[in-house]
Amino acid sequence: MPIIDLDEPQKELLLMGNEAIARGALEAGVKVCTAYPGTPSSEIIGSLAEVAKARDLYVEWSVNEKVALEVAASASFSGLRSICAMKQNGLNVASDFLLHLNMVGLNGGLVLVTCDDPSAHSSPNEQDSRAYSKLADLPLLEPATFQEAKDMTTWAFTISEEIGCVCMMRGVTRISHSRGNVTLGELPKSNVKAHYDASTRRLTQPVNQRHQWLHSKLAQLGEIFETSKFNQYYGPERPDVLIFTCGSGLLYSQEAVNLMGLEDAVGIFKIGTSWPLPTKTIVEHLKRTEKFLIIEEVDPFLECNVLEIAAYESMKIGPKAFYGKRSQHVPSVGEMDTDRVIDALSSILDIRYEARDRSYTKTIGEIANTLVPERTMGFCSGCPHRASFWSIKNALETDKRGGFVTGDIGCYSLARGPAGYYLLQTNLGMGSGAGLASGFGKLDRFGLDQPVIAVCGDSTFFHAAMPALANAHYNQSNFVMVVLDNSATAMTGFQPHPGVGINAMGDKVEPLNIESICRDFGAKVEVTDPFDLRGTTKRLLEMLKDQKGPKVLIMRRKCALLKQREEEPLYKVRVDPQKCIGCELCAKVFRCPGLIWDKELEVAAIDEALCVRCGLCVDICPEEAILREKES
Amino acid sequence: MGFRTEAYNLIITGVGGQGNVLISQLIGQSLVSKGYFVTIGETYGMAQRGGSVMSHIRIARGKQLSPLIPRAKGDFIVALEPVEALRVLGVRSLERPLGAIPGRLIPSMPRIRPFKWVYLFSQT
Repeated sequence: MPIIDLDEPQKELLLMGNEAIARGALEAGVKVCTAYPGTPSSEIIGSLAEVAKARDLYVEWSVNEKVALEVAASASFSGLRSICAMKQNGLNVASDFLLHLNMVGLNGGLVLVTCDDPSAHSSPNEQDSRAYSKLADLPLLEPATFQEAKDMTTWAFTISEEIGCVCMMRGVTRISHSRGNVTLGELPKSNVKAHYDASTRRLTQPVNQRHQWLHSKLAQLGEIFETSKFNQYYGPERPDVLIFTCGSGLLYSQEAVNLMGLEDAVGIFKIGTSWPLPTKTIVEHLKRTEKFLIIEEVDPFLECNVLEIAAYESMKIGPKAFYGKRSQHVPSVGEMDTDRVIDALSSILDIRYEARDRSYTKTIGEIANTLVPERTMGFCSGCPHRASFWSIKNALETDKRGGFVTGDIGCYSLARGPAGYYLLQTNLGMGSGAGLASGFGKLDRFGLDQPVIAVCGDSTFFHAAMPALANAHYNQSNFVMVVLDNSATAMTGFQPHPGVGINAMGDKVEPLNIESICRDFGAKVEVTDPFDLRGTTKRLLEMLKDQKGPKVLIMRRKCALLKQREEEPLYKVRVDPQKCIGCELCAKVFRCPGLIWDKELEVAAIDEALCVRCGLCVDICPEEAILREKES
Repeated sequence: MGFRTEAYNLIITGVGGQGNVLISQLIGQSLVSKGYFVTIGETYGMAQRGGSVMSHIRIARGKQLSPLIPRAKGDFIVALEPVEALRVLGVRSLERPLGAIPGRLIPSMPRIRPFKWVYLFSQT
């Protein structure tokens, strides 16, 4: 039941940050919305897709973030407001286009939302995307609350049209995925007709002139940002310490000051317009005191920018002390939280803050260490990847040449751990496994005699792996690419992709056929069901022995979570405790959550709450102690 | 100008798939409609695949609080799984835990020492 298009201005709702951003775009009259799924950004375009027909929007799950930004730009060139959302890694993919787009001017506002993931809760790296705003000379906003997530998005369109440039907005997981109070605004009724004015071309030449133009636009914005209400000071006129903060840092800083009782000693200047910084305003606040603490997520972006201003204006403001990531008062990696701000303030002001009784902390810590195991992540019950990696592991061990597996991003990234028998050697971005394999597959001339398998998912295949496959044929590289086709972009929430047969607008489309594409790209292609363990392993072994050019083995089976929603379970499954010899292979190596270890009887057992009754485990038990009966 | 706000901090913890997110949303939405400021911080995404899920529910009058409960400031735990309750006590830690409601134990996937792989299929 969509919530973001509720036509009740002034109503207060509990919204997710991403929903607030989507609502802000609706209130600005956005027309075109594009993205590739990526945690923590996916719900922005996801929630806009749910209201696309009701609000007369065009919403697209693009094949990757570069194309997503290109599609959004086409709308802006045609006078329509557009929004494009992505996670930090997606911005890397889109960056080439962004660094041309910045120079050519826009008609309709284009808001580029980048959602960073400090502490990498759901990401393969930790990255501060704000650096792109400085690199591309583009304005950058950072919402600090859920209300701001909405209001800033709406304002971002105004900014974008004011200067005719993309406006970037950076959020983090704790804003995007947390929920808070948001008061709704008005939904507009206007309609703009799309028109492309061919007399204003979108070319980056002459480059010097266009680069100069870009700088002048940023300078124009500097004036506007000086008076923005999103930059706000809280606290005494003359604090002992002044905190410069932005984004999620505001709420953490306010809580820290509150918990330590420092409201009369510590002031907080919150910046919402993170680039370009409102220099005059910053200088005014730099005059308030001598000690400054900078609180922000990931890199010392704000910190270094403030230091820059302080250095230029040093004659006006006098000597100052700065504390933050550079001075190591704040850790340089990992996400910000209230306790980190407390620790920094304790150190600077030499205050001891005890959150709670020490002896209690010690006791509970000891208990937690002995009784609380880590929850290692694994594949869901019935996941086809478990079967696929089982066959890959067996084939490589049987082959005996020390072969290895390169991978990339998706549910199957979990094959770096025990779930996939520690098989994955690399996870260096979408489609990179295929590129790496294309390289390894040429090193035989230098003595590399180990076979290589690259794994990639169906959505990833369309996103990024195809160029590497073309490269492999063209440069005659010898490797096996395993496409794990589970008919889903699963990890991010089952968004559709070109191989699935439906798009973001709900239209049925002819699905692209991965095997035909691979054949046309010059590879030898076969398709197998990963649940056919014996057949899959055999095919893989044959492909590994083949020394010529790229081979593609598509392991095709629908994701277990999708299957559960759509189909009835196939079997009744149980372990026969008489036959079980307690080898622990199923419960502790194969590791399906549906299989547990009975410590008393020392046999395996089926956990009926978690087992999806797919029957695969029957085929891996060496004693045939797991039994399945077809459901009638 | 002070920020003093009385806050009530509720933690809902469990393993992915237990209804953690749904519970926190139900509580949060009903409190917002009663005029409270509610912030819910969560980590999920890998939760379906066996990971812990923790929801921090911050309830206050007058001001939005941050999405994470500061250390030792949790007032009440609702634990859908007992090991996760212990993890919260040890890691996110409570000052005076007022209540914990242990649910069904969901075993974490066990670790095994590295061992030599056993050939399961004869070579054909």
